[in-house]
Amino acid sequence: MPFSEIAAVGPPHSDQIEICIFGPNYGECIVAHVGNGNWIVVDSCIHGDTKEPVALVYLRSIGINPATAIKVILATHWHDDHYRGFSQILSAAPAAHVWIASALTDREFLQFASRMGKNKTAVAGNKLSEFSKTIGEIRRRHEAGLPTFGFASAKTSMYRVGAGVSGHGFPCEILALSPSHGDMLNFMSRLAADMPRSRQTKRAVPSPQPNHLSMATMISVGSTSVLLGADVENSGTATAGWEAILGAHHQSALTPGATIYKIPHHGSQNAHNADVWLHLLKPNPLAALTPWRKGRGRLPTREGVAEIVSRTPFAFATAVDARTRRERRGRPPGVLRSLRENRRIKLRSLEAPFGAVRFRSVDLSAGGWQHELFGSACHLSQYRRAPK
Amino acid sequence: LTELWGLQVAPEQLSSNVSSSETATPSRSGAVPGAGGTRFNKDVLEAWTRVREQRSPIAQDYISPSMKNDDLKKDFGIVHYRSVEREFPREVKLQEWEGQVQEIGSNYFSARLVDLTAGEKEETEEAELPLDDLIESDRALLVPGAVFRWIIGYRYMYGQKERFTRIVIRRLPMWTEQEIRSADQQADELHHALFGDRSSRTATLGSD
Repeated sequence: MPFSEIAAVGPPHSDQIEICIFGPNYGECIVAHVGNGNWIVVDSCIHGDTKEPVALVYLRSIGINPATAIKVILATHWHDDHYRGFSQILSAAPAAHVWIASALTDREFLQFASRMGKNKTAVAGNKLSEFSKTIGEIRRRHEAGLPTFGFASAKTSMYRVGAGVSGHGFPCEILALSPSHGDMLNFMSRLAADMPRSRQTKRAVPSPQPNHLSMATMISVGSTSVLLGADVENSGTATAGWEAILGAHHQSALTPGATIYKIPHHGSQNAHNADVWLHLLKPNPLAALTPWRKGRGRLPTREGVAEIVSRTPFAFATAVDARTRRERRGRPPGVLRSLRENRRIKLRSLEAPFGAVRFRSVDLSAGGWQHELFGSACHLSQYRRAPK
Repeated sequence: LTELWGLQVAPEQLSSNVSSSETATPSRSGAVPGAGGTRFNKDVLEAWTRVREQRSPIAQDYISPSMKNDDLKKDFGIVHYRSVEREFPREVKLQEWEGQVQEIGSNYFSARLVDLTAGEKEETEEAELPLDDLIESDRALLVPGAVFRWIIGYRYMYGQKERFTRIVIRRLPMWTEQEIRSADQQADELHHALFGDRSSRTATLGSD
């Protein structure tokens, strides 16, 4: 049974905060308990064995009913490594509030998604189909009179409960730190360049870099806070990316310093910002990242790992740097021979080892936390293989 | 004089001043797949045909029966070659993927793959493939986002069985005005359904 190991401890207590980060080398999902049986889900990825969204598999495995327990679902951005199975979570949690970046409902982006939806040339479909399903669900809820969705940008408060009903005696709030106005302008500029036009050859959605419009969030529980960095990167300008978040923080403090940090953009160097560690985090925070690989691209790099482990001794990765070259079972011997004989062909399964890093509060007032590693999760210093 | 196929031919007879009536045209009957029409000087051809028929009965084999029909005299100037039987290879497909190009390197390209043989709809594998395996005409089509088929199988030809690997970049259609208009209309309807005529969405829907 999937997650039997992780489920063995059972669900958190009503007064415990839990942040569980899943990442199978391509994909990311965070499931968080914010007290009193209220759960939030940030992004979505698919479990390799069950082909279901990891969040649903996990919650069910610890005896939680997603339909009633999930209160908030956030999509930090629309890249498919953060979005797979998202619409299934929406269907499973009809009462949950859904939050997406406001720019994703601009007329231009809806046109982009709609045009790409007309491209039926590839079996795999287009990378926006999950987003289109999400918008379809939002429309259905809107027409049914269920205002259970919202469009976020920097400083949007997405969830707030008072101390009396939070389950742990502290007020709880989830705040969007981005996208900033500058992020949205960058995104729209990129969108205009990639917009399909008549008499252009159809093709798949272009490579979605850089990560404009990613939504970083802060979960605050009393004086404790958790910074989820999504895929926010440095922009080189004061109005976008981490620079804009730090600028807003200098104007009015967003956090007294986060204890837990979901490292942004899979630990890439362009997402590493020394001022974030200095101003938004407490010293030696608990930190975790989800690795990413696509073709020859792999994150985190060796340099990225070195940057992070120099900042905190408590840094983890949800999966080891597995260089899987698994040949699928059941293929005819002739296919396997062809693949073996042509050494220049490198075929890899995307079903990489799966792991999770789970943080649970021990004593919120004292700021005590425990961490657990599951599956192929590891300490970040053990992530990279030694160079040959 | 020049000797041509055993005939003594004057140089002027080899000239290319063939009149339009003598120009070879595709045969209208008994056409042989793969045979090509060739221009010849009428006199040379007549002489050559006559001599070959006299000298060697085997030569008959090289002249299409249609040449003997009177009504085909009008086609004079066309040489009909006997069809060469072509053996088309029989192929057995063992494995087929659909790929989307992600990245193009100096001697490879990487792609995400859908296993069509397994009936999958999602990308479950990725591959690096050598650029050399592409035919030259496909190289220009290789851009990030391009879609291709990768097939591994057996080919039977001339009594031999051999394995083959083939990568074919798909020639994708273009966006049409109608598709774009239709998509934009749907997007506008969706936007209107969510926000009405409001230009600002900030005060609309959302949290409690």
